[in-house]
Amino acid sequence: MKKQNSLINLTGTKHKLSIFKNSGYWFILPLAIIFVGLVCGTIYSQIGNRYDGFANIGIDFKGGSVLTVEMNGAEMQGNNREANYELIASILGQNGLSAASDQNSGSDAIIVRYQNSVIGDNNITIDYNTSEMAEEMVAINNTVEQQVEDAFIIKYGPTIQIKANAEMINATASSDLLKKAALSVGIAMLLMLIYTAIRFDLFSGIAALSMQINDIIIMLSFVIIFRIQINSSLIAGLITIVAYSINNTLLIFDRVRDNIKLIRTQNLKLIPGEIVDTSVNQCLTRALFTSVTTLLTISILACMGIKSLSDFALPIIFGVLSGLYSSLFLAPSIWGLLMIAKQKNEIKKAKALKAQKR
Amino acid sequence: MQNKSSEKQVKEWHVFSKKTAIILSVAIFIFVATLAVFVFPLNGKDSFNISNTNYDFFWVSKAIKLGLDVEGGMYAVYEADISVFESEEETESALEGTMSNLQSLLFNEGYTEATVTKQGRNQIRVEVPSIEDTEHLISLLGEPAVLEFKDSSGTVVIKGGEHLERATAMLYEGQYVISLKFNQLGTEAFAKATEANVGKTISININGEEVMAPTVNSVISDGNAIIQGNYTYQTANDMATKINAGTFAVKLSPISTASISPTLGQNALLYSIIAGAIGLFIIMIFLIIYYRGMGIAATIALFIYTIILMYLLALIPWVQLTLPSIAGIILSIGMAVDANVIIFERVKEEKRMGGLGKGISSSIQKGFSKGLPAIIDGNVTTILGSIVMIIFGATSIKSFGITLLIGIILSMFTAIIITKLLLNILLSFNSESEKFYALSFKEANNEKTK
Repeated sequence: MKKQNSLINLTGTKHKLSIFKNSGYWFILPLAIIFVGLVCGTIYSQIGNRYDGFANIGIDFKGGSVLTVEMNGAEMQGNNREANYELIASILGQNGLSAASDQNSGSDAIIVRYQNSVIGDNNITIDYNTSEMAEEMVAINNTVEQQVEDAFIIKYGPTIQIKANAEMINATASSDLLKKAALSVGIAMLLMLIYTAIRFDLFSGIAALSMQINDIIIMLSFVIIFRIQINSSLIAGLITIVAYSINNTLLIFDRVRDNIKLIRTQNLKLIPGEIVDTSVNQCLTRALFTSVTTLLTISILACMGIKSLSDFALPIIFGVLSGLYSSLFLAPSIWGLLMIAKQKNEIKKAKALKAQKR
Repeated sequence: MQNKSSEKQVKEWHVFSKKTAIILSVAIFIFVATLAVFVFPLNGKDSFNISNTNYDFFWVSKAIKLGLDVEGGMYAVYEADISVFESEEETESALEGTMSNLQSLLFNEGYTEATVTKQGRNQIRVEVPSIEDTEHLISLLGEPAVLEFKDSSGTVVIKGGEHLERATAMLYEGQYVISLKFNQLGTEAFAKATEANVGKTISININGEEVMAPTVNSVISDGNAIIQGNYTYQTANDMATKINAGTFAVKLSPISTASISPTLGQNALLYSIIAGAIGLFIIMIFLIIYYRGMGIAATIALFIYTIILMYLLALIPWVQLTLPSIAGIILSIGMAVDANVIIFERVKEEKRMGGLGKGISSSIQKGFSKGLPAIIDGNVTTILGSIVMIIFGATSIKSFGITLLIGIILSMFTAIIITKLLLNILLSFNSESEKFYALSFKEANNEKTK
C-alpha cells in the first residue's frame, strides 16, 4: 500500500455531498423551522384572529361538544348519510363551528363532534371551553339543536321524528395517558442511548439521541405551523418517529464504525471530516431509498381523503423528512465536531504532559 | 454451507444443487400459497362441505381484533342524580369520583380502551369498543362500588355509603396520608370499632376486595382517621378518590345507549389497508427494477412477510389493531424493505470493489454478512423501544409497541433468512449473469446511480 492511500480511495466512494465542510450550515434549516413554529404559535395565540391558541388542541385533550342527531320516519344512514352529514355540517358552519369527527350510532343516528371554538364576526375565534363561557356555549349548542331539527323537517317533511342533542364533553385523553407516554418514550430513548454507546461509541449515542429530540421538535413545529390537530393519534405518530429516526442514524454510524476499523488496520490518520463524508456518501442510496419507500406508503395514507387519516399521516411525513435530514446532515456533523473536540483535547493533554516532564 | 470461497476463486459455486433448488422452491410455493389462501375470504363463506359434513373455519383476517377507532362499539350516557349535593364543588368531586370508579371498573373487566367523560352538567358518557350487547354494558356499569371496613374477624364495622363523609389526600408530618372524615353515624360506629380493635387491623375493602389494612393505634372518637402508608401525593389521591367513589351513592340512571361506528370514520381501516397494499406494490416494482434478480427475491420475501404478519396479528392475543398499531405495521414494512436495501447495497459494493475476480455468489454472501451488524443494531434499538412501550405505555401505546415488535422481529427474519434462501435458490439456476443481478459495473462512472 502506498502512502497517499486515503479512505476515499480505499472504499471507492464518490463524494457527492460534502457534509463536514458545511457542518455549521446544516443547523440553520432546523433552527429556522423551530423559529417559524414559535412565531406562528405566538401569532395564533394573540386574541383577535381566527385562531384560538398556540396550537390546535383537539377534543381528546381539551374537550368539546358532541351532537347526536336521531331521526325516525326517513333514512338517516345508508344512502342519505352523506347528504345528512353535509346538512349538519353546514349548520355547524353557520354557527361558526366546524365538525371534527362524525360517526354512525345505532341504526338511525349520526354523532358529530366539534371543538368549542366559535369563529364569530370578522373571522375572530373565541374559545368557549372555559368555565366562564360554559353557559354561552350551552346557548350556542341549543341554537344548533333547534336549527338542525328545523332543517331536517324542511328537508324530509313534518312527518318525521327528529331529535338533535348537543352536549359539552370533557377531555377523553387523561393526563395519565400523556404522563405514561412521556415516561415510556423517555425510558426508551435512554436505553437506546446506552445501547448505541456500547455498540458504537458515546459520541454516536449522543448524536443519535439529540437527533431523536430534534425530530420530535421539528415535527411539533410543523404541527403548530399548519395547525394540525393535537390528539391521541399525534402522540402515536411522535412515538413512531422516535422509533424510526434512530434506525436511519445508526446506519450511518455503522459505516463510521467500519471506516474507523479500516483506518486502524491501514494505519492511516483518523480525520473525522473524511470519515463523516465517506460514511454518509456510502449510505446515500440506501437512506434515500428507505425514506422514499416509507414516505410513499404514508403519503398514500394521507391522500386517501379521510381527514382523520391525513391528520395522522401528515406529522409522520414531516417526521420522516426531518429524520432523513438529521441522519444525513446533523448527526454525522455532531459526531465529527465532538470527535475533533476530543482530538484537540488529547493533543492539549499530551502537550501538558510533555511540559510537565520537562 | 460449503463456503470455502477464497479471493482467487473465480469459478462460481452455489449453496444448493439444481435439484435441491427445484424441490425447495416448489415446497416454499406450496407452503406460502396455502397460507395465503386462508388469509382473505374468497367467497365470504365460513364453512365448506366434504361429503355432507360442514366444516366451519375462521378466515385469518377476520380473527384480528380491532380497536374503538377502527371498529366501533357501544356508548352509554348516564344521568347522575345531583340533587343531593349542595355546592358546585361537591357535585364536581362526586362526579369525578364516580367517573374514575367507572374507568377502573371497565379496565378490570378487560375493556382497556374504554373512555369515560363528563358530558353537560350532570351526565357521564361511556364509550366501549368491541362490545355488542347493551344489557351487558348496563349491568357492568349500573352497580356502584361498595366500601366496607372490616375488623380482623371479618365483621363489617363501617359501610361507606352510610358512614363515611369523605376521604382526601393530605400532608401529615411530612408524609402524604389519606384523611377520612366520618359523618355523625360513622363517628359513633368508628369509635366503637376502634375501641374493640386496638392493636389489631381494620381492613378497607372496595367491592369486596381488600385495598389496605391499617393497624388501629388508639380509640378514635372525633370522627377523623388518617391512613398512613408509603404514599406519594398521587397514590394517596388515587386511593382517596377510590374510597370516595365507594362512599357516595351518585345514582346513575342510563338515559341512552346505542352502538357507534368507528371514531375514525367508516372506511378508515379499509383505506389504510388499501394504502398499505398500494405502497407495498410500488415498493416491489421499485425493488425489481432497481435490483432485478435480487429485487425478485426481496419481493417474494416481502410477500411472505405480509402473509406471516397477518397470521401473527390474528394469533397473538394482545394485539388490538388501532390507528397507532397500523402505523406500527407500515413502519415495519418500511424496515423490512430497508434491511433488504442495506444488504443489496453492500453486495453491490462488494462486487464493485472486488473487481473482475469477484463472483456474484461470493459478493452476495459477503454482502449479507457485512450488512448484518447494521441491520441488527438498527433493529435492536427499535426492539428496545417497543418493549419499553409495552411495559410502561398506556393502552394505545402498548398496542403500538406490540405490533411494532412483531413486525420488526419478523422483518429481520424475512430479510436475513428468507431473502438469503431465495437468493441462493436463484443462484443455483443462474449464477453467471451480472445483468440479471444488476451487478455489472463496466463503466467506471456508473458505480453510483441514484
